[in-house]
This record gives sequence, structure tokens and C-alpha cells, in this order.
Amino acid sequence: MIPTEDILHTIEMIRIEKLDVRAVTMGINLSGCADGDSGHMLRKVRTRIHAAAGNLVACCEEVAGKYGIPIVNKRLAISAASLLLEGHGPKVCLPLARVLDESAAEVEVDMIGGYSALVQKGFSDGDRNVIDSIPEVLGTTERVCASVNVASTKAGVNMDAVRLMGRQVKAAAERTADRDGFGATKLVVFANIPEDNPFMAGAFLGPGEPGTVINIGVSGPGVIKRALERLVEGAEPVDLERIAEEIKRTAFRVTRVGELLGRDVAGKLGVRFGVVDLSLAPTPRVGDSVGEILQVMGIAKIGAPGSTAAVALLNDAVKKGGLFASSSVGGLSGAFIPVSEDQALSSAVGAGTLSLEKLEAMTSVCSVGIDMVVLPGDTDADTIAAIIADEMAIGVVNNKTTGVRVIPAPGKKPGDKAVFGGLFGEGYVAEVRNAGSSERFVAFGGRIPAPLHSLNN
Amino acid sequence: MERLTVRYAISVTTRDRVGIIADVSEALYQLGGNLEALSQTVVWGWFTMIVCGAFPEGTTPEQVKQAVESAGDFIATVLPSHDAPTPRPVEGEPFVVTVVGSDKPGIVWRLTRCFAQTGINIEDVWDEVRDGHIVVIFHVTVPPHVDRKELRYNLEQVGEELGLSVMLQHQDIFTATNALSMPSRSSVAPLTRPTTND
Repeated sequence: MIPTEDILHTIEMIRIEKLDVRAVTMGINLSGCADGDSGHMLRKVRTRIHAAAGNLVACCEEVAGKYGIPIVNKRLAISAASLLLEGHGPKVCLPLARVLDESAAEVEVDMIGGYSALVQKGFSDGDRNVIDSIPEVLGTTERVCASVNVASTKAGVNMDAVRLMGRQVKAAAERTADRDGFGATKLVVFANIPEDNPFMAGAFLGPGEPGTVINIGVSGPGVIKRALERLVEGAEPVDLERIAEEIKRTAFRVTRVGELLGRDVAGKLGVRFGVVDLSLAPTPRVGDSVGEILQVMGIAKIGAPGSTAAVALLNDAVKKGGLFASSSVGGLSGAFIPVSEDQALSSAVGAGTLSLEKLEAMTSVCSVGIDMVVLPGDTDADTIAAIIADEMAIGVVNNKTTGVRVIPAPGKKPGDKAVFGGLFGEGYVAEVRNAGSSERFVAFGGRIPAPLHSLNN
Repeated sequence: MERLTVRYAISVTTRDRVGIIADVSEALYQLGGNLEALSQTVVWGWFTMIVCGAFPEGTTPEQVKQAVESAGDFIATVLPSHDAPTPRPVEGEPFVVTVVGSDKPGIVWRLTRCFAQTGINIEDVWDEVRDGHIVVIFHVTVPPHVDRKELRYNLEQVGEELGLSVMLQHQDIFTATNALSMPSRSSVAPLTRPTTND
């Protein structure tokens, strides 16, 4: 029999600290749907999605009810859409995106990721089709998310792709100017893109993955924040080792929830269970914030000196706790700092304590990159490309995943607010210092060669 | 050794103090008995235990009762028992029902009646009231024929009428979040499973 205190602790995590499973994401390989006849290809895509994911939402609801843990988002991640668009003209892009959008709506999932291209060493025709169509696709669909991998530790940084993506990010925002540039919230530019990431907007199913797979994204900033509050308000003296230990223990519990529910969903659907991504993913809700964890750790103003060290401790302790809890950890697995989705981070940008440069520093020690940062609408495409290039360099050199999801909100200036709604939240426009000063560097194009992995200093 | 051929289930209630089990077990030993199962609990300072044991042929329930009660300020009940543990009243999956809210009369009655009407057996229960705030935890076995959605709805309805929060959760969630090992149940996919579609 489980001790009463343990039951009450778990109940408190669920009822008061709002522990939930952030995302159950079904990966579906659509390569088998490739067809020279676009009509046939589109029909096969729809059929495959229905066959694989028809029962996903009902199954998630059954499992959520069984354990009393909400599953907030049910999503699909497909194999890169560029593979389906090889050999087709650009006219097929929008119809494919619409079929993906409609199929996702029909199986009642929140989002479908994988309108993706991997171009770290160069472009295929399919990759070009995807990248060229991204602004239009994100402007005319509701659920489709796009991602482009422009760099890897093995290949270096494809600066032609970086420059192109600077333009496409700006175009995606402008195409949705009536919604503060919402289109750009569904587009991530990656270095070292993970193949099993369940979180949007960067989820896609990599080529090394099973045909159909369930990956889980857990949540838990609120649970960790409360655990640390109890610790620091308690009678016993606390040091940073004790804080790291408490984060580890809490991450263990949170990860276990993801693993239990994920295995049950996969078992019921008869598909393979992939990974638990144990990232701390905040939501705009007060109390569910990575920024608030940093405040409990003693960083009064987020962005102040010490913020990078605090995030590093948090990120590492989360990984250690999660890895002991599950042997199936994957995806991004770290602490996210998506600014508009985290009210404490968003307020810090609004108050001017958290700058773009400090965010960049923090991303060198945590997941996942410059994420959900609103930029002034007049930021030029080459400056956006240069922001991407900096972040890609951090990922490539440090052998980690980094991403950029910035929203140059049309018509907005530093200090203005952009409102996206729902989990995307709202964010103050960050100042971009020295904008317009990187054009020549970006215009060189070519590739930043893969980095050396010896003489590490 | 004398043949131990009769079995009794003995319950003992008294005010809690040090040495109760020593006194009772000594009395039973003196009768020539051997203890085979024992469980105790203390609620509000009241100690209660249940003991199952085997005794020499010819030992009567009255002899056992008298031996126990003369060992201390005990109230004992002695019932004949079977040779082996009887099967559980129902088979099914383990769930935990947690009730939290303001205390008022009738909470346990309403919920347990709901269990009884549905064929759900209570394996263990813990109930505590502090400052007018009640927490009840039922460990129950839910037979396969019970519609869990309907059960959850019914329990939540009772909770709503009484102004309480009632949660029905599979026991595995508590094992997963508290024990070192993951629950290994057939309802959960194994670490590696053959798949049909990849």
C-alpha cells in the first residue's frame, strides 16, 4: 500500500501545482505517401493520418481520466514535408499544407509539425519548395508548424539558408500582420534539430525514428517552483546543492508521470513508445513559469548577473532527475525560456531587465534558444538572419540543439506589446541593439565550416 | 510439537500503550498457539489489531478470548478461521479515491454506498479531519465490468452535492511518482514491444 503522505504529495502536485502532461505527440512517417501524382499523394497523406491518429485524442482522454492527470495538447509530428514535395512544383505546397491542416482538424489534434526541411549542407528541390512556401502556408493554415534545420555540429552553418530564413521569418510575420505577426510563432530555425521532439513548433519525425511513435512532453515549472519555495522558506539552511537536489527529485516525479501516461497511450494504440522529453515548458499562467523559478532561486530581476548560472543549475538538475526516472529520455530535455509564453520572462523584457543579449547567453546553457521573442516590426531581414547565425553558432560549437523563434511584429516598437493568445501568450517587444549592422557578414553567404572538436578552450 | 489444527481470527481493541502486542502474543503462546498473520492500526489513541493463528486441537474460542482478555485491559472477539486465506471479495484494478474539503456528516457513508452499489471493494481507508478540513483516501479494487467514466461521474456528483473534491485515479500514478521502480502492469506497454506498423 502506498503511504498516505506520498499520495497527498502527488495529489497536491496535480491539484494545486497544476502538474500536467503538456503534449502527447504522435510521430507519423509519411514517406510511404510520396507519389509523382500530387492528387494521389494528397489522398494518401490524409488516409495515413486518419489511420494512425484517428483514435489518438480519445485514447489520450481515456488515459488522462484513468490517472487524473490532464493531457493539455495532442499533436502530430510528420516526417519532413520536403520529402513529399521532391519532384513536385511549388504549386503543390499549399494544397499539401491544407491537407495536413484539415487532417489535423479532422482527428482533433491541436497542431501538426513537420512542414520542415533539413538544409544544413544544402538545398534539394523539396527543401526549396518548403522554405519558399512557409510564409503563405503559415498565413493560411491554423495548425501547421514549420521548422528548418540550417546548421549542425557535423556540417557547420549553412549561411545561405540562414539568410533566406531571416527573410522568411519576416515574411511570415508580415503575412499575418493583422495578428501581430502570429505566423512567425509557428516557425523555428534550428541547429542540431532533434528527431523526436514532441514540443511545437519544432516537432517533426526524423528519418531514424519508427514509422509511428508516441513521444511525450512533460511540464512542471509550477511543481518545481513550489518545491523550491517550500525548501527556501523551511527551517533548515539551504545552499545551491540542496536546491539542485530538490529540483532533481521533483523532475524525477514529473518525468515518471510522462512515462506512465505515454506508455499507456502507446500500448492502447498499439504503437511504439518513443521518449519523454523532460523539458520544463512554461505557460503564460502565473505560477507556471521558469522565470519564477529563477526568482525563487534569488535572481530578483530576471536578466541580472547570475541569471545564466541559475539557469545552468536548473537545466542540469532537471536532466539528472529525469534521466534517473526514465531510460527513454529524448527530444530537447531542458529548461525552456520561451519569452512570450512565460509571464515572468515577458515582464522582465517589458521592464528592460532581460535583454536579447542576456537571453542569448542563457541559451548557451539551457534549452532551446531565442524562443518566442518579439522584435520591432522594422527589424531588417539580414539582422534577423544575423540573430539566427549567432544562435546557430552557439548550438554548433557546443554540440547542442539551439533554435530561433522570433516574431518581428509589424508596426510594433520596443516596449509595445504583441498578443498571440492561448499558450503562445503575449510579449513585449525587445530592443535589437545595433540593428542594420550585420548585412555584409550575412551577404557573404556560403558555409561556416564545422567546428574543431579538440583543443577545446 | 502438538498438532495445531484449529484456526481463529482474533480482534483486540484497547487504549494504545507500549507492550500490547507482546502481552497478547504471550497469552496466545501460552495457549500453544502459533501466529500466522497480524495487522494493527491506531486511530485517535485507540489500538486495534487482528491476528490469525493456529491452536492445538480442542482449543475453544472461549479459551482464546479469556486468555487474551486476562492478559490486559483488552476487548477481544474470536471467530473460527479457514485453513488458508480466503479469496478477495472482488478482482480488478487498484484505484485510489481521494476526497478533500470541508467536513460534514455523511461523507464516508455517501461515498462508500456508491462503492457498494457498484461492486467496488475497499481494501484500505484513511480518514483525517483537521480544523474542519477532511481528507479521506480510499484504496479500492474496481472490477473490470465497472464503467470507469460513469463511476468517476457518480463520485464527482456526490462530491459536488457535498461540496468536496473527489478524485478517482489508478494506483499506478502514485507508484510512478513515489517509488524507485516503474509500475509493471499489463495495462502499460513494456519497455520494448513489437509493433505492427513500423
